[in-house]
Amino acid sequence: MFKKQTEKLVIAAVLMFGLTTAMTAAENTKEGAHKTIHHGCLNAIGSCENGHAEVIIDGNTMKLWFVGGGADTDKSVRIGDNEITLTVTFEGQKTAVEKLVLAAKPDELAEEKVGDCSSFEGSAEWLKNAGKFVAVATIKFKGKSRTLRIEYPNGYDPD
Amino acid sequence: MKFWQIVLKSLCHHWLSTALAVISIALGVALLDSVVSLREQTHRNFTQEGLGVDAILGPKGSPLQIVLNALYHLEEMPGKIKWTYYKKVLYSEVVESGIPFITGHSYAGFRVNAIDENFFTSFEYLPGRHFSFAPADGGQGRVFSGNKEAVAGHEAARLLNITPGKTFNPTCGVNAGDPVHVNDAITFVGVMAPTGTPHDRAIYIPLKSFYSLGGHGGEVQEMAQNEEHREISGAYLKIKRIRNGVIHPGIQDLKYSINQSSQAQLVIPNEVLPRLFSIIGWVDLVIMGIALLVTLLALLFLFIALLSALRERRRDLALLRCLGATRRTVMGLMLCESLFMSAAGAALGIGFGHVIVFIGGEFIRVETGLRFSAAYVSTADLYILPVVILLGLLAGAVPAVQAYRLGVLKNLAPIS
Repeated sequence: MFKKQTEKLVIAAVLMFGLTTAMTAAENTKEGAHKTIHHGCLNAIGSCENGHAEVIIDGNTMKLWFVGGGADTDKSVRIGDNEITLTVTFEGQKTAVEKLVLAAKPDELAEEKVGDCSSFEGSAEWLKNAGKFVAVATIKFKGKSRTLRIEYPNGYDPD
Repeated sequence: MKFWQIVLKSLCHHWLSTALAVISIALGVALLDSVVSLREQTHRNFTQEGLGVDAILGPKGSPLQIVLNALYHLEEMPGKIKWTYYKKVLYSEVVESGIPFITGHSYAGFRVNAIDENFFTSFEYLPGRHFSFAPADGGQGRVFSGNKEAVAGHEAARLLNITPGKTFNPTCGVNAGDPVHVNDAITFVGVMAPTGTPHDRAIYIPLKSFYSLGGHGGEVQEMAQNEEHREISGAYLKIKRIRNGVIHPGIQDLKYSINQSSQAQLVIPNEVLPRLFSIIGWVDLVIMGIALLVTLLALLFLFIALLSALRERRRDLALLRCLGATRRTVMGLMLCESLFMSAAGAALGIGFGHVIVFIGGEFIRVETGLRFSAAYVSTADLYILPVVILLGLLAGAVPAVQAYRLGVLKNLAPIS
């Protein structure tokens, strides 16, 4: 009888430990969300530590800023591309249905110019009622060819 | 004889231990009260609306250094920024106006800053408050209009005996031994009315006169005419407001843009100073802990004093019982003595505390220009009296219970 009780106690303790660990991990995940200067969604480029693309949709315009990895989301990262062509797939659909071209929009105060720029912008009517979508493009980020994956509006983090 | 008369007579009879208990409580309370008051006033002085500045455009470097130099006339600016960049920032849709300045000179230990004359008309050193030269406000003279003119802050004028008409030669630097502009005599034309801010400790000259000071070289002198090459130390920026006077939310985007450049950074004083206080906040806690400990030690002394007084007065209390006093009366006597000593100590301590703030505040005002008021009512002023009285009653509880349980016959037995 005592053996059975002991076994029950051990199982209960393990379950409690596991639950506590899971809750702590969930808490840490929530607490660990990086700050966003423009209040957009962050999309990791390669990995979270490598860099991010911060995205907001304002009416029919998508604005994108390339920022640092990890906690450096308040620091811009410039790329050499003059424009970025996104292939967009809406939620629930298997094939891409839209293309969106984002043109470089140099920030004068940051001394940017086309070809050395961290912010991009593009407009399309369908952005007004966009809902959830995934947009993909290829860019040269920090000297390497990378896939830019935007999962709007929740953001993308493969880690 | 009334109850309170007995209490007072007893306290007077043991005047030495009463006085010592009251003074020790007063010292502990004074320390605690003055620490809390100075702490609260320091926080208020250093965080009040960024001293009228929404943002400072400054060179790359430590944001804290920029705030200390631009607002408190301490430290040195870590570099210079280009005039052309400053003008670009002015065109931003969230910036209402800017006041450029150049720091790095001094006179007799006081900072001499070159500044745009709009500083004296549009700058609000505190919300809604502008500088004044009016005699009714405590000022003299007028704002400068020519290159060889200067105005002094009230405190600087008082300590250096500056009056309109006096001249001085600015030092090129802020350290002892730095070279003096011996060929550039500048005339004071005004003394600003006191503001209670660090601006009282500064001397101001026109922005363009900085470039014309001898010894700066041809390149600097050219900056007076050539905006392309002109440099400044920084600029106070006023940001536009949206509904209900809320600062334009675009200030964060502006900060982001400027901070990505290689030339400058935007520093928001209300973000920098609270961070500083959160880092050094533990120092406050340690000092307050010490003050609290001193107060508790004083109350412990009160407890010991009451206990030893009870031992001496056993016979007196037994006599009182014989004369008709109840146990509760005798207990009440002890509690009231404790109550009186702790209340008197707390009240005296609060008074002492304000005196300490007055004396300490004078030193701080002379050194930094910041004003600390002895009349400021801090959190400690509101809570210290009831808390110390309560603790005093607790200190008197044990002697009071012992007095309650006092045996009459036992304590009236002949001594010899």
